[in-house]
Amino acid sequence: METIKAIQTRRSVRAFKKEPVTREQLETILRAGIAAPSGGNRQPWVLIAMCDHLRLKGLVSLSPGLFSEPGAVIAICLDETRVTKTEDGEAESMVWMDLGGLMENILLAAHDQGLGACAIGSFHEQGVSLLLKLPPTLKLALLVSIGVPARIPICPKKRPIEELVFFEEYGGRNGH
Amino acid sequence: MDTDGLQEDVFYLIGFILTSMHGLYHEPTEYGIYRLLDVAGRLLSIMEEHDLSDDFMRKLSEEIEEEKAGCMDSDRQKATIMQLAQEYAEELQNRLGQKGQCI
Repeated sequence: METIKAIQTRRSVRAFKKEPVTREQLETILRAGIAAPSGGNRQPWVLIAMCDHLRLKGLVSLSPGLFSEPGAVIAICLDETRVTKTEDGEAESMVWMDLGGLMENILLAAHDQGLGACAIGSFHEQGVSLLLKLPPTLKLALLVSIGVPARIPICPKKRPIEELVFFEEYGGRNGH
Repeated sequence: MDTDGLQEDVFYLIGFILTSMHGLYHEPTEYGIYRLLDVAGRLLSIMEEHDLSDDFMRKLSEEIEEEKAGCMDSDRQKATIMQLAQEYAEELQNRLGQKGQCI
């Protein structure tokens, strides 16, 4: 799929058919995810892919943002051993942008494979961390649900480009 | 009524309700509306699964699933929820009319 077309046509798909995501599709998506750029090439992430029906059912009960059981879920974790901490012990903000880039790669790769996907931020962190048997050095950051779409939503209203994009300076309308 | 797996389905539903409550302390306010809509949909799905549903509940379930699958749009969501509540109120009237005070 052509890249710009993929970006423009991707939607957040929340309803899935009861059909599996193949191992080949999942590996393609995971490899696209970890191809994302990261500050200092630290690659501060670990991904856990889940496809087992019973485990997914448990995950759905712990994750209000998962509206239905998808064919697969990828848990995106921040690897705190690869992160510089600020003076107050928080991970520096750059790593969250790194994870955002990885997430977008996953969403676009799923779309490229003819699948639907949605980034999920609503989950019970402690519960899902237990389910995934995460060590203390991994912080669960996001879930991405993936599956064969049952319904594809229409494009939501987007703010007009004139409100969001300027040239040369804030408010500038003339490009080169 | 098919009770096989009913306890398990309710167990998972309880998990959804409890983790939703936990999440809503720090999530956007409008997510609370989605969670209530979702729990109504999940309850209707469980009833369908266990042969406890009827035509009205199946229709309600379809409308809820349609709303859940759409893009986040608070105006459309509000209109849908008002419509669903109206449909429920009318159905309640029908059932009361048919069966007296007993639903």
